[in-house]
Amino acid sequence: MSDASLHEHPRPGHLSFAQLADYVDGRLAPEQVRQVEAHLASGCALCQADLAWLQRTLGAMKDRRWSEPPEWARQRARQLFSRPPEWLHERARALYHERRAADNRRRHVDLRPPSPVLRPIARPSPRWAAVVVGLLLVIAAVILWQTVRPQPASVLYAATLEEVGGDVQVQPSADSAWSAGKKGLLLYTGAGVRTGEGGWALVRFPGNPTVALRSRAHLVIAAMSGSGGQLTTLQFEQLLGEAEYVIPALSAPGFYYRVTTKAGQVTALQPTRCTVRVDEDGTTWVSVSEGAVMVSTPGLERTLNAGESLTLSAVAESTATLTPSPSVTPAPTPTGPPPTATSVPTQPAPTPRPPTRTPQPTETAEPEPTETPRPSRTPEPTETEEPTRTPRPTETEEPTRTPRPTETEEPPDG
Amino acid sequence: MDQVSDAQLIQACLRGDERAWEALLERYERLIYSIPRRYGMSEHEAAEVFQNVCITLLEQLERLRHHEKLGAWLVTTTRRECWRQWRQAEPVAQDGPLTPPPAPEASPEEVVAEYEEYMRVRRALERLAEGCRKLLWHLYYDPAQPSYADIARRLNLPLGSIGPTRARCLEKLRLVLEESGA
Repeated sequence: MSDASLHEHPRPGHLSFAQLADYVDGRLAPEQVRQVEAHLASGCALCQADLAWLQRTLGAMKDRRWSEPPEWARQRARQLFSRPPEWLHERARALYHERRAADNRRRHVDLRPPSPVLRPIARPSPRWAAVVVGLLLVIAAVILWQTVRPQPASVLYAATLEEVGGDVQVQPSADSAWSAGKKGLLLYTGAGVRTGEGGWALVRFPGNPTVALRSRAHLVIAAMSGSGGQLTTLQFEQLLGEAEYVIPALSAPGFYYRVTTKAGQVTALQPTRCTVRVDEDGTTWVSVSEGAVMVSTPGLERTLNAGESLTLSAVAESTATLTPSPSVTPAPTPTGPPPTATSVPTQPAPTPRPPTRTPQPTETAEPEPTETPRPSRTPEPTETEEPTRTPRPTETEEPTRTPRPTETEEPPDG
Repeated sequence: MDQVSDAQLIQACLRGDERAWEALLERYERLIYSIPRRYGMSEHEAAEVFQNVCITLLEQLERLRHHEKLGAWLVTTTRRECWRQWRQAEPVAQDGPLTPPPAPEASPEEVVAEYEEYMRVRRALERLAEGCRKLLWHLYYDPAQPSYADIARRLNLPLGSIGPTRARCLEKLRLVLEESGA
């Protein structure tokens, strides 16, 4: 059909497509409008169908609601999927705080009238209340279901900077900048926390394990991994200062954590309470107040029981000094308020035991803690060993810092 | 990737396919952005909402259960995000002029249906030859809403041919839509 036939020569007995389009676009003169409407009123099914199609299609084309976001916002959204840039970390932090603040505000009675802009969604009606109650029931059912169903393997875990005091800084990932550590910040694998003079921080992990950093400490969360939706492995790189690691009795079965310092590794199963201090020269002091940990360096593996402490030197001719103590060994030189994890329920110190459970396999292929028989001899006070250990652990033994995965704080629903 | 379902795109995203993520955004970015704009938010505020919803979508990808309802889920999530932002800015907003309230809210499914109709026509337009595509774009999508004379000048067409050419292009558009199963 030619252009002319469409416009100037209507289909015999019918309105032309062009006439109908002009009618929909409002481009016809009043007399032409009357003619078109008279024809449509006569019951012409073909023209009515054409008109319906044109009204629907041209209406969709003229719809101005669906404008495109600004290019910068589109680009940022696309970048989310690849390695997230620093701005995303900042935004995730801001979102977390904003949501908390919004939650807090909602707990108070708000008598301010909602903006008419959002009145329909800001002022719930009784019908909405019923819907909300229904939703809560659904959410409860979903949560129950989530607890019993198998979880996907790639659950992302996040720790929370629960308490801070004085100078505390955090680094979301190894290649990002340090910023002030604020209470409530989420920390993912690869995040670092450091405290200045007099500063302290308490970091809580899923399942309630905590790490309390004291003054002038530097800790990196090298890995968080789990199985069945439960955190089962925590790995830290403690670079400086003193930190207390508390694993409550309620942690997931098979849970263990490992602290790597310049001088060696500390591996523990639950429940334990242990303090690790790393000096400037890398010398590492380990003290156990509850449970038992395994201290290992090349050439030395020792189970350290409650009341015992051990010093590991980072130099080649290192010595390990085992010092059993009748009571909880205090940290030799802590400064600032001690951020002990008092809110974490811990069992009384159990009978020290070597690790007997094999930790869950993890994505990081971390070697399992070696099951080492306890030394048959009783350690003597101030006994100094001359172990045949090789010099300082090689770099390959230290856990590599995993690049931070995509920000996904655990959302409430889905 | 227009023919790929939302479920397939989500699965591809979960496998780490970045192009699938871009396709998801391409499919729904206008839907997300339109909601804060309809609530009277500025371009910048709406862009903030858009970004936050994209972050939430990425967070939730693994947990989404009803992939076929992704559009409706996005509408609900975006409305929540608008509400959250409004709550934060409320003391400030009350000092300034308020945008008239929107029409009674349609259900998420209704919004998605309207949006899908818009996107369906837009995709069909992309399949037309350049001449028709440009003409229909100027006639119906150009925010400046130019006159026939302006369009004739821009496209170097005789003024009298605009009407008949438009009819011919609309017929072709109809054919494309019918071929695509709509």
